Amino acid sequence: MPTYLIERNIPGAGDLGQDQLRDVAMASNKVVADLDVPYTWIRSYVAGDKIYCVHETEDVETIREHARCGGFPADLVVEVAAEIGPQTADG
Amino acid sequence: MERQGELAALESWLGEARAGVGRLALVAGEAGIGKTSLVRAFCDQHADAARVWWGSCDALSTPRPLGPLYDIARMARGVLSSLMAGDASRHDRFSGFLEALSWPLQPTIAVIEDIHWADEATRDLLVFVARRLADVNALMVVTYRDDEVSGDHPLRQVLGSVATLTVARRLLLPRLSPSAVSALAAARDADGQQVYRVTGGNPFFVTEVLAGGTGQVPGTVTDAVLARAGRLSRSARSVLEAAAVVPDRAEIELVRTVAAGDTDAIEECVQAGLLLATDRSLRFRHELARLAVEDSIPGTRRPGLHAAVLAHLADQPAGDPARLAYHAEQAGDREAVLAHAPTAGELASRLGAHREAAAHYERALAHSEGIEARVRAELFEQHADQCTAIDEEAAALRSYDGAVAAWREVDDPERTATVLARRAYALWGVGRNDEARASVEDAIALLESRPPGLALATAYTYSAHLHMLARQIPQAIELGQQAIAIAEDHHDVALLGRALNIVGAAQWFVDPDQAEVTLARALEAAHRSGDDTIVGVVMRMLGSGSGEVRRYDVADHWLREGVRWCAEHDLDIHGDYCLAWLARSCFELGRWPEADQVATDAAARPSQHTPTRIVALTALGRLRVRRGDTGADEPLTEAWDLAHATGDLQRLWPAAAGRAEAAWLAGRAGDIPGLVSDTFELAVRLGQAWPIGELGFWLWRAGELRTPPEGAAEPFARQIAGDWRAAAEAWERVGCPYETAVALADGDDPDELRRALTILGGLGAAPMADRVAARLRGLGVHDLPRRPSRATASNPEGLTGRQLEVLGQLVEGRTNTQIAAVLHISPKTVGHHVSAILDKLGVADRREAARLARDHGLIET
Repeated sequence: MPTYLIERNIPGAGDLGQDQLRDVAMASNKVVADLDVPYTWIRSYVAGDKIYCVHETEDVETIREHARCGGFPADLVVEVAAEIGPQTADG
Repeated sequence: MERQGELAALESWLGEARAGVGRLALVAGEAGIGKTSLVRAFCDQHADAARVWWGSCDALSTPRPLGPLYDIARMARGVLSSLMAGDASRHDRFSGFLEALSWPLQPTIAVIEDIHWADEATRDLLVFVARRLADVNALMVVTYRDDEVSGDHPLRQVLGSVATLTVARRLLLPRLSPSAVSALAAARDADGQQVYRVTGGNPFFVTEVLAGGTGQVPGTVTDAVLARAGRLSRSARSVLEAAAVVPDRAEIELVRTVAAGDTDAIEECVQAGLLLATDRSLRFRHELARLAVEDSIPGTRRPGLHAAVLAHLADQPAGDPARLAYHAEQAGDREAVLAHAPTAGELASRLGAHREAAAHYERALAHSEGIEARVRAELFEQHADQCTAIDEEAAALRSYDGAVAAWREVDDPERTATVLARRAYALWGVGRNDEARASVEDAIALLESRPPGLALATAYTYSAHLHMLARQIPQAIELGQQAIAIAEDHHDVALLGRALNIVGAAQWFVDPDQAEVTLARALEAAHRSGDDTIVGVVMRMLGSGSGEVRRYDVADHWLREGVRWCAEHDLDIHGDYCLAWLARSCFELGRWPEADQVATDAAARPSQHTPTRIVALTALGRLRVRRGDTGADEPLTEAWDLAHATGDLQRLWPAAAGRAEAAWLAGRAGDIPGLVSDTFELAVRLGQAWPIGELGFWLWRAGELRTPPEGAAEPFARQIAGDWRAAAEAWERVGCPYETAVALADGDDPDELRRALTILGGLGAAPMADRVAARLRGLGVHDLPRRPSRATASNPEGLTGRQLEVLGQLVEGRTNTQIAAVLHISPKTVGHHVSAILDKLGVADRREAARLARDHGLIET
């Protein structure tokens, strides 16, 4: 299944409190459950005025559907072409 | 089409919402003007940048209570959808919606369409949300047909309440211009001028006409729609008819079953531009089109279609009872009406949609002939209670009569008596006082031989209430205390709160200290019962009751507290009444600038509640009389006319006294007996000290009385007896500066007369000050102070009394939290006042407001 990187513009995202982040995570889980298609939310990074998310699913449209249903902005959605790290240098 | 300006406006409000400043957009225009198209286009543009929720009010003859909120809950999911699915209270649903609106990641656009059809609960929801939207990152958009909201349309009051809020923005959609119509027509090779002449530039009509495409222009929108429908195949036509008899939302499954139509037939209607398919349901491109098709179905076929719809809906789980009741009635299915209408009534009543609840019970009653008496009795009783809740007294009384007869038929004395007691209150409300007394006495007679229960306590409470209203104080207290004892035995705190409230109200007239104690207990019971309305009622009683016996410290505290509590809990009628009373007590205490602002504010409240208007207009008129302002007659005359219609002493007496004072100051003392004699006699008959005193005082001024009338309140009695010095001291103790000065003015001591002149000068009471100055000059005193002018002649910005108070605090440099503590209101409310003040003064921040206030003398420093 393809992996997608999603950039969400949210002014003040870095200032969101624990309670708000929990609400956001609950909302996302609920949408994932309701979508009824293969969908995995892998991880998200909250930084400055952005949230960057890594999700796995069949296609871009499903990523957008998840965003619309949950009320998450999705300003940029790109498929991950490759994953590299320090160990890639060894390969 | 030419709607760029409107889209830009909506966009800028969404921008403000994104920044955390909530907005309510009121989008108005006639049917077919393109409200929905505009809002849909706007929402589509922002679908990725905002959450979009959509709800519609429907054209069912009795709309679903909170219908649009159910629509929204389906889209919003989460907590709101479980609240709406369960049996949460109406307040929890309202709060749940408000909470769901704020979402940290994106602004929310919440649309409610066609609120001219909204049920009562949805209208209340709008006011609730609008008042709390200021710091929520949401844009609420409501659409309505402004040309249908005229006269006594219930939406008028809602619009009046929300339009003045700082969150509200209005968007009025105009018709298309001749050139825009010509451009559209040219694209279809039609005669633009002719299309404009027929359609008047109504966009829906224009589209329908042009869709005809025959070059021939149909004369009405109905002709245009039917011309299009006429070209459909037989099976598509039956799909269209099935959809047309369902005013709210025609599910595709439903249409298929009713029309026995296949997917092709549905597709044909969509292709022809007559139906739109969305979210597993079909709807007409416009309600005007649905009506055109529905009206074209022959009357003989319609009941059959509704019966088919009913059969389909009855098979679905969790069907909406309001829909079922509607189709049952249209199908002429008596049993189905009796099955669904009461359920719909109960749901509507629970959600506070009393108007809709009454309509459902009425529908059931229309089909109730020959059913079991017990069931009929319940229906009558429910109908009567709902009618009482919406002030439809005549209908309520008819149904109370029906309920009494039916409960007698099944021989249930407790239910019979309870209804008789409630009926008594309704009878009193329409001025049939003798029948009211008889009704409640019948109720008590039915029960007194039986063991005391809650039915008897209810009857005692109503009886006590009627005695209290008639100022038959000892009886009111005695009956109320019997009700209290039973309510305590049965641990019914709501009834206990009500009974204590009546007893406390009555005690103001005989034992004010005890009244305060009893009402404190009533307030405690009311809080414990969890019924916000009883709490508001008790606060109102604490404030106005103590005000009427001139205990101003108690009155001032509870009136302000009542205004605050009722604003927080949307109890407008009680809150407005507290506000009007606050104006009266400020007036009597000599705080005239505040009295002026508060009275003006209270008289203009959108609820237009009669007792509130009487109190506010009387205060305003009397204030103008004492200041020598022009325009005192108008409010006093209106107050008097309204008071006269009630026949109640408490309403009549202050208005009569105000008119007498106006006559006296104008040198027409001869008019006074005609203005006050009847009310004075009423006061004497009921033994009420303050009205006997004040009206007796005016009859004495007019030369009609020589000695104080029996039972007159002390300060007036002293003054009538000629002891002006003791009268002035008594008035000073009570706290009324104007009355103090008037008493001093009866004397001949130049020093005391000077004191009177100083007091009157400080108040701005020019006419009375002129009289005192003339007396002093008569006594040979000539170095008099300047004639007073109005203390605050300069408030051109029209700030309310409360806003002036807040502005005064801003001048002191206080924060919202400090101001909130001083004025006994919440910091949030202070925030609302501050933004209203900035708006009215046209300044950017509080420092500037304070400077402006000082420079222009808006605040006395």
